[in-house]
Amino acid sequence: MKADAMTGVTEPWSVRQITWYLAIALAVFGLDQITKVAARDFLELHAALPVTPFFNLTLNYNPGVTFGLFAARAPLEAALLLVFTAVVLLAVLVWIVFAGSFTERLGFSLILAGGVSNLVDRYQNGAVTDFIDLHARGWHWPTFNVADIAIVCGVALLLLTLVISPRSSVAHEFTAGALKVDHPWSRATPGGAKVAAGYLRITNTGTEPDRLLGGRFEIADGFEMHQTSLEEGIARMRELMGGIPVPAGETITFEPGRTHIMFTNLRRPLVAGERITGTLRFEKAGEVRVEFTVEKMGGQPDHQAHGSGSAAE
Amino acid sequence: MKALRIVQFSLWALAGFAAVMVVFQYTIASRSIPAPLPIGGPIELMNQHGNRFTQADLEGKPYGVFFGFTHCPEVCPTTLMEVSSLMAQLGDEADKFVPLFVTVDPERDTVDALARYMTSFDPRIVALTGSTDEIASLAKSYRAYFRKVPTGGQGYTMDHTATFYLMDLRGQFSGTLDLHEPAETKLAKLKRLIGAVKG
Repeated sequence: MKADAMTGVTEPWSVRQITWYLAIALAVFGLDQITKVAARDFLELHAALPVTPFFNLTLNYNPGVTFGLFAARAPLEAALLLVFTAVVLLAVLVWIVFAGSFTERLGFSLILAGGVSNLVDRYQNGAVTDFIDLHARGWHWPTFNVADIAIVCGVALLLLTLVISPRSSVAHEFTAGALKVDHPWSRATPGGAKVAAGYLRITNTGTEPDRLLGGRFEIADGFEMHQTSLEEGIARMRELMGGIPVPAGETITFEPGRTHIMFTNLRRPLVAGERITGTLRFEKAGEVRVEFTVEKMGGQPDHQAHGSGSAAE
Repeated sequence: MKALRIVQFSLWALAGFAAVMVVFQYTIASRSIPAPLPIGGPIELMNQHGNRFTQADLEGKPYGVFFGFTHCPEVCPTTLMEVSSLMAQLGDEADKFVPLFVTVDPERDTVDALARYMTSFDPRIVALTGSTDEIASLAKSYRAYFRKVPTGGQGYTMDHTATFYLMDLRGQFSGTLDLHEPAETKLAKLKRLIGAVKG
């Protein structure tokens, strides 16, 4: 489960990421518009142009939505459909901003690009231009276009993230060189609490040792690493000075009851279900951006409870 | 498919094991009623609402005592959450029991700080603060330990006894809740403690 195949790290909603998704969306939009124009110019309505035994280019105008579903027949219905689609796309846009992972955002971007492109088409021509005609044994799949492909791919990506991640707090992973940071998580904090604990797992897949020196948590001033113990009824906490070694080929784990990262001087409480950006600073690998999922108070991360985190790797 | 079957089998095995553990823990826990020990002493502190809270407020009621502090990232919020959940499970019976959260960090845990902190937990939990001396003497009567430990920055943290003391309606020590024991066991202990009020 790579968090981000492109940059290696899932970043928060940064300008750089916006430009990436915008680029992808615009490319899809452009490709779709160009192919539609070409289809309208070079193809004759309903006249199939065979390309392969199962694939024709056939121009068709679809007044409904994707694959001719809910085909609208009256002008009023068409207008309603236009408004409905616009509202749905707006919702998708809002969702992108709050979406967690790379795949989710990419999925939403594809859906948005395809949706907008078809919407523009519908607005300009009163119907959507379809020209891809797949058929087998005389049975034809409803004609579609590039935008439909993008939408389907987007939905598939979203379904994929759902399959991989049954909850928002699923195992998520961040990499920097040979270091792999697995499932950083924290817990919701009580009212006015100034501290929170963070947990994660770091695996050094390389041959060189490294050392976790410290880091940063978006909504806190301080970042300390602590060892905790509960012996003979006494809870103790000791700061681990000088960082924590991450030997080559080994995994170090911050977990309740043993070690945690303590975020000090919290500027606001942590709320279950949200994700908070942070940075880990390593001696060699440098800074690694991560996202901490926030569990409910006293909660455990879902995947640690039955160890599916390691099974997924 | 074979892998799926293995996963399924493991899950069933785990469920079976958990069931055995729960039954075992429950029966063992039901038997271990410790003899009364000279643990505990009179309480006279300030609660999170800014009112004086004394032993008289606990008259005729069993209560629980937990020493902690709000700059505590793990043990304290988890314990308070657990107690809140136990109170919810007790339902009406919970009104016969008073959980106390005594800060060992009165320097930072003022009445206001405790008031804000406690909004996240069952409102029946009484948070208590006072002068360092008052708290030290109460902790001593409970044989509870606490100590200030400096951290890297200008900050500090507290070592503290994290035992949840159970006190009966006469203010006598009658056992403890362990953070790591199953919720069923804790609930059974509380019910037994409260049940004594009726009998």
